[in-house]
Amino acid sequence: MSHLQGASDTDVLLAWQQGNASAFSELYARYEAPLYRYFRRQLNNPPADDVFQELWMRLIASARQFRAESSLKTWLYQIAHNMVIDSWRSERRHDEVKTDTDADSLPGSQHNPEQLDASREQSQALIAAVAALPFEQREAFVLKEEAGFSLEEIAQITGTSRETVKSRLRYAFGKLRSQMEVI
Amino acid sequence: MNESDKDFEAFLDGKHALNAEYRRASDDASEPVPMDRKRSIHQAAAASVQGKNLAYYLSRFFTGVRRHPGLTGALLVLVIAVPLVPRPVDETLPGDALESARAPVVARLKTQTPAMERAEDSYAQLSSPAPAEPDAIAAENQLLKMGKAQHGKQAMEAASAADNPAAPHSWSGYRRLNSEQILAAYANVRDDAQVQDGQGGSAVNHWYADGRFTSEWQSPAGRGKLTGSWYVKDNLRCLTIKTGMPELEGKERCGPVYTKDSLYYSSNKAGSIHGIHTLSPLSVN
Repeated sequence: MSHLQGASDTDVLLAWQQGNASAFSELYARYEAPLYRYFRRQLNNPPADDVFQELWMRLIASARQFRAESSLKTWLYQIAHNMVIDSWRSERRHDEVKTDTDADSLPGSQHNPEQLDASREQSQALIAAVAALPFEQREAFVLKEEAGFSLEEIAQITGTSRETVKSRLRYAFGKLRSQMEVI
Repeated sequence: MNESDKDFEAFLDGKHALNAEYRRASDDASEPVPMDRKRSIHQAAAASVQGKNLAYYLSRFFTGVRRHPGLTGALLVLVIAVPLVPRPVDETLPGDALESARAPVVARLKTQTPAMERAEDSYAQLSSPAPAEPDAIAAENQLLKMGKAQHGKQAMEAASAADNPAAPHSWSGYRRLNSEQILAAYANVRDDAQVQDGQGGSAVNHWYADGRFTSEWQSPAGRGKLTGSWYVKDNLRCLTIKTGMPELEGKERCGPVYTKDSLYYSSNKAGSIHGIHTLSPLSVN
């Protein structure tokens, strides 16, 4: 498997398509953490765990159909984005999260006041602030900060324009900045 | 970089501290994927690799041939020699009857030679993407021919597939959408499509609920933009191109739509997959 560690996503996927089982392990290792975080920032648990597993099941089922001309990372996140939307629609939580101010119920936030020191409280507050952002702004922020996508890639994943992504990021950063100043 | 981009870059530059703080916070708050989920995922991946097709086994076989030419030679000798060993006569069939049973098979194999050679090319393409030395390729072809002589049924099936390269896709396990479902799925969506037939390529399509569509496509042949209208008829999705492709403008083209695992599939006339479509809401800003 070591010869795959420096290989491109496309090469690793091609190796897997040709029957190299360890290539999947390499692919999974690359995207496990960022994708899981993406889902945890966008959804509560257990839906996040379910959707995360479902994403990999879909990738396993459709890997042979992936064309090497596309970016695997963008492809994965496009599917992830669609799944988050599907999950929102099925649970009808989209509007609830926008207005819900209870940090314990927000995606990605776990709050246990008895055990927090000041720095951790700050960190938890920032995570909660991100979770309280409107869906589109939070997604743009997470895709940029967690997954490292460019504006163009975020626009492609979310089906919007580059200018829209910039606008959403401006609002997101602005809100986070003002909330952290308050805290 | 335009002024808007410069302003945005400057805006982001002022947010480095917040970014760093967020990444620290995210690391602190991150939790590992539950072990049972991880196990299920890896088990599914392992099972998918085990369910390999003929192409995979051929690929592995010819890889072994290249790596072990001596062993391959020994196997060739066996394969050539075994049929020459006199076999007990089948006492249930008189000699003439045996010969007349063989004759049609031999005749069929002879007439299908051109298709077999095309099938040979198909197998060679499937075997490995890496270029091979000429001797190894000759050995592969020789083995293919030997294999065909030994396995006439497989060869004839391969020839049939080679004569009909756009063989229908097996839609078992897929759900075909009816008119209402097509309308619901395609109203106001962005469609990221991967083209599977022809020269391949991709497209970003916008399907509007008012019946318009736009498409920005790219392929090895080039890139372009289309506009037109779409509608449903008899459980088919139809479209008519208005601009962007003169040879097809004004002509109605209809086809079925399938779905599986939240992906959508369009079919070409031969019944094989034309495109794999990832649909997402079309944001109007």
